[in-house]
Amino acid sequence: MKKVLSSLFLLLLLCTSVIAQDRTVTGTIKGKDDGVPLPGVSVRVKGTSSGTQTGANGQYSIRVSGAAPVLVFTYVGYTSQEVSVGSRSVVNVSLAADATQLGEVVVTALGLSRQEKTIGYAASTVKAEEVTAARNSNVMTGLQGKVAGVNISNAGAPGASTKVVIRGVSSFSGGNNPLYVIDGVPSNNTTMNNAFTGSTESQFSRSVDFGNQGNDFNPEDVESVTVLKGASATALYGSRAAHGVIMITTKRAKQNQKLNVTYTGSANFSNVLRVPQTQNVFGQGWPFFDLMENGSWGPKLDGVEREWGTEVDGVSQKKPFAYVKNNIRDFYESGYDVQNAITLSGGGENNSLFFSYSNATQDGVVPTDADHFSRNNFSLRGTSTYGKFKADYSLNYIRRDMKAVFAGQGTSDGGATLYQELIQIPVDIPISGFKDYNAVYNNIDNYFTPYADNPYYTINENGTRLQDDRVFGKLELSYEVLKNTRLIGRLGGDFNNTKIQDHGAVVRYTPGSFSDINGKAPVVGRYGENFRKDGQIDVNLLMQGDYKLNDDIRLGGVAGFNYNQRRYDLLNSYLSGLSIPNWYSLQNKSTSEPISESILNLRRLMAVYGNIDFGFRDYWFVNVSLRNDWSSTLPQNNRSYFYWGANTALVLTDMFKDWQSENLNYLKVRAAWGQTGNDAAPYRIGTSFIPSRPPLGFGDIYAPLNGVPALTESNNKGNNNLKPEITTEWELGLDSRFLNNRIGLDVSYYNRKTKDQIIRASVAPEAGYTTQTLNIGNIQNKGIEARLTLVPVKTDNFQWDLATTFTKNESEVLKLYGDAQELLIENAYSVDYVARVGAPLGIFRVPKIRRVEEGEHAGKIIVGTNGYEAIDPNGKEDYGTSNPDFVLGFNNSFRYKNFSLSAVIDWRKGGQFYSYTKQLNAFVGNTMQTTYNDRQPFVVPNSVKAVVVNGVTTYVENNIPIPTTSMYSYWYGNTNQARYRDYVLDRDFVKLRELVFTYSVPKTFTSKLKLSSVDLSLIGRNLLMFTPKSNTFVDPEGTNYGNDIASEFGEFAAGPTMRSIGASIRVGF
Amino acid sequence: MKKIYSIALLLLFVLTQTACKKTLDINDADPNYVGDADPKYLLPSGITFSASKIGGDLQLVGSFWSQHYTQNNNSSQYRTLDSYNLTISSYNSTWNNLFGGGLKDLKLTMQKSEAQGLWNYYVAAEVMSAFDYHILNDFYGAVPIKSGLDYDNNPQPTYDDSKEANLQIIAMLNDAISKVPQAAALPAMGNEDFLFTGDMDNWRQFAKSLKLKILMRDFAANTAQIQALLQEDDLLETDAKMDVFVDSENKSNPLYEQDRRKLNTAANMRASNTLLKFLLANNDPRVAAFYEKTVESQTAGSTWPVYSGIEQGNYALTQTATRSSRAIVLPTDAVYFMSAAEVSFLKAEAFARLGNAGSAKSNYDNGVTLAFERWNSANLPLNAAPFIAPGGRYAFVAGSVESMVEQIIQQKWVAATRSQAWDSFFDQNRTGYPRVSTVATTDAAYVPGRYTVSVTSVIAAGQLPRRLLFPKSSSDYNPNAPKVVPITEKMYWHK
Repeated sequence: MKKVLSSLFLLLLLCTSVIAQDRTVTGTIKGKDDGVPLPGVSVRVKGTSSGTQTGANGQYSIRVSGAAPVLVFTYVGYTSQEVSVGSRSVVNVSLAADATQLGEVVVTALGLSRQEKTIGYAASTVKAEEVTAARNSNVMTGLQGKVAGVNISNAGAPGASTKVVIRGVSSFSGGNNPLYVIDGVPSNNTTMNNAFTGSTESQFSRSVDFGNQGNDFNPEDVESVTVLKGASATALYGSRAAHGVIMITTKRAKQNQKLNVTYTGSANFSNVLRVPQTQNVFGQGWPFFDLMENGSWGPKLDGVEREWGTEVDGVSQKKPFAYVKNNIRDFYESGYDVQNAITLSGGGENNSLFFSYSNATQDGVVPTDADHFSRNNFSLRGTSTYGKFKADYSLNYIRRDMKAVFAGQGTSDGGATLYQELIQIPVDIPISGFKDYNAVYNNIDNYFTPYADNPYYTINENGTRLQDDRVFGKLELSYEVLKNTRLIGRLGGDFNNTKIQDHGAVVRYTPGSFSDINGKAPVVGRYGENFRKDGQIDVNLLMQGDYKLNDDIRLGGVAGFNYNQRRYDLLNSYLSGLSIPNWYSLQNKSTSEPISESILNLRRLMAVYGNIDFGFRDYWFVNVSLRNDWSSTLPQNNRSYFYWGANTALVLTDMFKDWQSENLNYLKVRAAWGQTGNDAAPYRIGTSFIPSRPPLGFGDIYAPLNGVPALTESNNKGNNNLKPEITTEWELGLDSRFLNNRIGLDVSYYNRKTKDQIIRASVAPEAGYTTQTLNIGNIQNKGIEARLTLVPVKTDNFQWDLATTFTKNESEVLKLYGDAQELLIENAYSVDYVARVGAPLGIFRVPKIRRVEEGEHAGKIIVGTNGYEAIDPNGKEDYGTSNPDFVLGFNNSFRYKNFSLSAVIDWRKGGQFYSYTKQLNAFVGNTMQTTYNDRQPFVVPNSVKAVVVNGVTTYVENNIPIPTTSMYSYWYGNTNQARYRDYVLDRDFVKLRELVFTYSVPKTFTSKLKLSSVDLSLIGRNLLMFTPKSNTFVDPEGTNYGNDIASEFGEFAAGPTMRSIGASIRVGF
Repeated sequence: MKKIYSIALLLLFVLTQTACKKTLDINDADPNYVGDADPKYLLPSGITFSASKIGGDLQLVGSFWSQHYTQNNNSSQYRTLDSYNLTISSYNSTWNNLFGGGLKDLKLTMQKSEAQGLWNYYVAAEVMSAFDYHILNDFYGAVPIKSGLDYDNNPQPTYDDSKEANLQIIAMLNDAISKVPQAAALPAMGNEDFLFTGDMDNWRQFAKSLKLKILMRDFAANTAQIQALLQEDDLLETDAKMDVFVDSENKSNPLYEQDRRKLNTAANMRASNTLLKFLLANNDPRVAAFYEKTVESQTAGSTWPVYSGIEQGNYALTQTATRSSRAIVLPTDAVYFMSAAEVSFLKAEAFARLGNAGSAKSNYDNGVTLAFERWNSANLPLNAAPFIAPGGRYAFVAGSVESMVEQIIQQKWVAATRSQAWDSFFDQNRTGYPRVSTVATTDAAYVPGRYTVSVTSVIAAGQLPRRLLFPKSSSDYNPNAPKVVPITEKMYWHK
């Protein structure tokens, strides 16, 4: 035992001294894939305690003895190799990267690396190859289905935001996204959506998703991504890490590395994944056949050729009165995405440099380039080492250009939006025929219906674009002040300038034209500009030490100071009502003046922190972290807050060596407890007086009126007693490997409580305010996350790897505030999405159907005089939750010689979402449901009607039929509130997220081309999606409510998601 | 080693204790906005909030429930309103913004102007508050006046029932009236007084007129006070209205802004047959002030009527929108709180109830005349004289109290169109006029001008809505909010 310990000791000290040997063996260790020399590879003589490490150039030298010495080469992230030396004096080895060894080293808070086994909490690391396998244009989408406990979804359109929720949603009002940390520096993750176009309209009007900044990074720059989930893991990051941390470690060049060049290119074609399925029985009309209706409430389709649409100069067009197959699908075109990335890296004795450039261009499936995304990334990173001094620096520039299609509802100034117009076309009218939107039958004057607009007009004439320039980087200097003790100064900065423009065309109808006569509302036109400047500065000064106190005990620690400043400046101006058509400028004034606002938002945070790592022998590890924050956003008295976390790991198979066997290779148990504190948004302490803008049913009235300025006290009451929000979490975990590492299981159970969230909580308006900034609530999220890895087949040529991730999270709102039992998070029409005490965070509430309470008809539906389900005016009833029962991810990979095939499947079970797409389809009579009973009169099943005799109400069987001519009114929520529940759909899905087939060109061939490696791949993304019967309308992950809690609500005529197929090539020179 | 640590610690200490404070004192006040405001800026805000909700949502509710307008059959925006299918979530924004915005700004105006001796702002704010409370009280049947708007001391106010609230409102008006002499002695308010540009006599008359209006809710109990007010005759002869709206984004009449400019279809509000048939039956030229000509009648060769309405609530009708008349709302329409015409009708009714037919007639005639004059223009010359002349359609016929009241309220109902529609809703509740027809307007037995029950009503047969439901935004957060009262339940002053 002592011998083992001492050999470990030697290894730990990275000792190069050797015990007396017979002869010397030398060699170079290279990576199998790229041929790059690997420094720091552990080289050991099997069965002895002697060992060494490769130098910067990958070379080693070791003395061996005995007749048949065997060298063991081990290196983090690579498969260990044992090589018989025989009589050789030179042994060169190529080590293969080992995907199953995920997480051997993890990057922990502050960008420090630690061995995976020393960590007492769940941390999942995903390597570059996995992140980039399907060549997604952003890093996080590449992680879908690959990490337990993390839900990742993308809103759909090119460049749209990615939602990352770790261990369940726990924040009422947003901020559920994790903190993104690049090489130890926190980075901005603002989501650009229509909140930035200056519209005071709600999220469902003219909504745009310009993506979140977490999408900006070039995936080819990523070395690995580590997800820190629990509070104990993230405590050191303080305030912003309450919802987890995504740690991105970038690729760097190694010292003494020869110049290495790689090129990666990919091209994919995409088409629309899911369009609403419509009924195919009834055609245009409402409820009788009518040439100008925008719905399919008319007679049965008979295929007979008839006139349709508007009459122009006495002539109408003709077409058969028949169902048009693939009508909406045919509207969409093929999109594409192309990516190119080149990296150069190399290093000398003291310096190393890495440079990369990439571009990503994507055009979505909407015709024209109205949905377009392009991004250019430049990165320069380097390290310098001079004795005790080290420098690490990086500078990145990202340029992003986007055009997006408005989703949701149109507005009176900006005009109609695409997806809403697409739905409002009867099933017998071919949509693609409207493409030439200036043609006489298709133009604004003569479009067939006065109730909707030509979808092609909206994409050609209305639009919005974004330009973003972003620079971020860091400078880290460190000096070894004492042996094993470094003083580190790290300065990080992240700055971006964003400009968003939006325009909506002026629509004026020719007097006497069809649209004019039918009272179609003209559009006054709109132009808006929005400038936003974000800046974040983050400074860390820390002292880091790592000491071996004696043979058994290792002690490491960090003490540091952090200063963080975040600021944004916003200037927004828009003009509603343009004078001259097609001139988009704030100067194009008619009766209206531009409405402008400018906002400064500045906040600072200071902190001191400490971290102690304790290691006993090689199997017991304890980590304690402590942090105290001082936040500018909290009141002076509560500004300072302290929190801490501790975790411990015990490697049982190292503790009891005899447990280790071929059947049980590794067993570790871990436990963690931790807290993170969180501060408020700025300016929540006082109550300001703001310009008076009374909201109307739709729109607002803005002061000044008649030149008279007016100020109103904010409806939100500030709070001088705010205290920080505290998240407390404990977790238990187990990490194990069996049967020669063929089976691996990593399980965690966690229980998290988030208390005292700072939100604008609703209060009774009659007291003078509608909200007050309050510390509210206690939300519990507990769950299990597991990752099971299997290697069912492993031969020399063939290997099948299977990794399954399982995520189950249960949330419960334990308390709100005061007497409040319910808090509205989001709503549309009469569907509310609320937090309610005792329920999971985020449940749906719909109008409550009245039912007989007692007697022979107890439980039956009561209908009104019109025969529709009667509604209880006093409240709503529960109708599902947004939370899934569980999520399963399957990662399969098959390798045969130089071929490999991998597939990622995601299965989400349970939960609901609101779909306006369905609602609108129901309104226009396009849903299958509206063909119930062949649209013949029916009586609401299992219902009764009230009979009042002498003031006493009794119930008798309902005999009031819904007439055929009222079907349109029965199936639509606005006229039959009971039907709002129809628009809450099941969220379940199974998706084939990635399917990648790769061929690695044999080295024998590539070397002839003077290339070190060539990989060719065929890639499919989102090839298949299965949803339950209730949802034949949309991809349940598509949303136009951004990427925070509101997006859990659902979608409001959001754009479609895409399926894509393509190919990529990766060349190493 | 030790030295370095102590230096580092000292540095940290210095940083956290001194520099920190300054660095972190940046969020206590919001640099984007001011932390306090003068009455000069708060009063116009209070009035604008009041006008936005009363002239917006409540004018809309009033217009439908007074059967001036009905829902267009080809669109669906106000179907729940027209079918009386409201819930506790309907029109919450009215409550939220009158309390969180209008009434609170007015209360702050009073507090600040009292402290500064600015009695003119004080009076204006108090009368305007009293008016807002009156509107809310008559719509909801209870309103928290005594303990409301005092978040720090009473975040969950108790409601005053309708009767008690009226006493509170009258007390406010009396207080305001008593402060007018002090207010009149000060330099006049300017344009920030949207109603009377600082004329304190008008504010006093507004206060007294509102007092009369509220006292009329229980004529028998308040006869002496009513008589005193009539005797004093210091009542409004001008309109209490906010008339500053222009045809410009966010600066128009609130109903126009929300219904015409901001909704993506501007066709929702159509002529209700109830009012339209009355106007047509009487050849009342005001029809052109209230309704647009049907589009269909304007096409060559068409024989379709120039004005055509829809049965109240009959949005299930199938006909093109070109066939019904759309309601006229202009961006420049004023928002009326009280009007000279209304005050004349009020006086007429009071005199009628006192048995003074002569004064009832003169005030009635004046009311009708003012109601015509309101929409008189070069394009639409309106003259009430032939209508009120003996033998004229609207000639006042002295008779029983009820018959005189019916004539007065019937005309008041027409006069309330496009201006004070909520008031004719209150009047119908209070007096039962216009009467409710037992047959549809298409029936031969129909008497023009009588209410019909919405064709799509979801409430019990023959019933009309009497109130708005106590809002969810209150009941969810205030355990002292009253239990929900059914929409059909009458208030103490309802007939």
